[in-house]
Amino acid sequence: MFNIEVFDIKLNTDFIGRNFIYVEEIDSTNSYLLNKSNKVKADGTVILAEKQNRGRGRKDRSWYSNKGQNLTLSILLADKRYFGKSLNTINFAVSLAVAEAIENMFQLRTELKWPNDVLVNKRKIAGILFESISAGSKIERLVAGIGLNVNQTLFQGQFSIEPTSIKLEFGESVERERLLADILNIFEELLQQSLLNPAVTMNDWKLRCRMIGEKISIAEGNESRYGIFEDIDDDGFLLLKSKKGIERIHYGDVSLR
Amino acid sequence: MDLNLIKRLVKIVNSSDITDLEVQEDGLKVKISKKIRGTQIVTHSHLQPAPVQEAAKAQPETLPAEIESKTENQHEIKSPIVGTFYRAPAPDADPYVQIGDIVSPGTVLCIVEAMKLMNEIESDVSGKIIKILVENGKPVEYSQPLFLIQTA
Repeated sequence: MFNIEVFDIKLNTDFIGRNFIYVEEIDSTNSYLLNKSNKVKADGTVILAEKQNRGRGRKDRSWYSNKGQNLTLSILLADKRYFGKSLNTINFAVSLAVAEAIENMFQLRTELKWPNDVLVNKRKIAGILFESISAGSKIERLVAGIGLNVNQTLFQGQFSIEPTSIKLEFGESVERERLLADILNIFEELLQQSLLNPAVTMNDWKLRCRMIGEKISIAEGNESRYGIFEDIDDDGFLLLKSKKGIERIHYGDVSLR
Repeated sequence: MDLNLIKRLVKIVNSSDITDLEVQEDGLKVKISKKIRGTQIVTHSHLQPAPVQEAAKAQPETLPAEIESKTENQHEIKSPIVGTFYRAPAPDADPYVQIGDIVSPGTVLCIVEAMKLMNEIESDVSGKIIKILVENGKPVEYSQPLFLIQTA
């Protein structure tokens, strides 16, 4: 099981993870933090669950994770400063923090897939689900959910991108406590940087995005669009170059052609 | 030429706020610049069949409707972000609300998604949905009206 003392020693943050909730089992860590009636308010609160019964991805796709082997967590971002122009950059900062932590600890070469998947050897090692709740026209709560495959080695089911884990790539079981602390340490730095200097965060993200310059297709529902992945703009939109010119895309599943 | 040296220099420039760096050593001159170039946006569209026409039409169509119909007891819900408007949590699920539904503060109305940020919009008033101003799956701009709610 997760050793909170070991985690706490490695955590160097000011506020991210300082309010830490650990649960054995929960429906979804994102849902827990998004639900106002749970009365969690502190900016940077982290909830880590050993097992999620209804782990989710984009559009209610499921996220399965074996109990006690991986990291499934959510971070509450409650400061109003996050809800402005930096919002999209903060989304990118989450996947960047996961990628940097994996690189630092295990020297694995990571790749970031727009908008926020983390890959190693072309396989998906982590997924991010960013969710917010607005009352009327104003954002009230923002939650970053992270699912990172750590020590799981068998994955059952059908996947659009083959899954992998740190154990599969690194070759041995690793300590989840230090890895989580490292992700949160890096994320807090990137969060500050995203507010002060979002272009630097975006640039670091782009350095790990190996699809820029390639021919891609973007699928959403039954529709596909083709072109060259020209760049990512300052707001995080994908710029797709085709015969029609350059289009700004803000959603869809991207794959190489 | 030492490629590693250049790689290291690029890393230094990228992780700092400086935009230009020039280094000269043993007759080798390296100049690194990270001016963010202006990108020409030719169209502004999304994954829709006829994006150009749609984007152009969307604004004039919704704006007059809003001016015509919005009276004192009507409350508008606007999009807090740029993204795609969804009326249901998943492609095969029922819409959160329909025209005529009675809502109260906290009732979920829709989702606006941008770059995997799923933003769930709840009503901040009590009342009856009288208009849904955007079609499911269509792009919405920042502050674009989405729902009209009759509050009294």
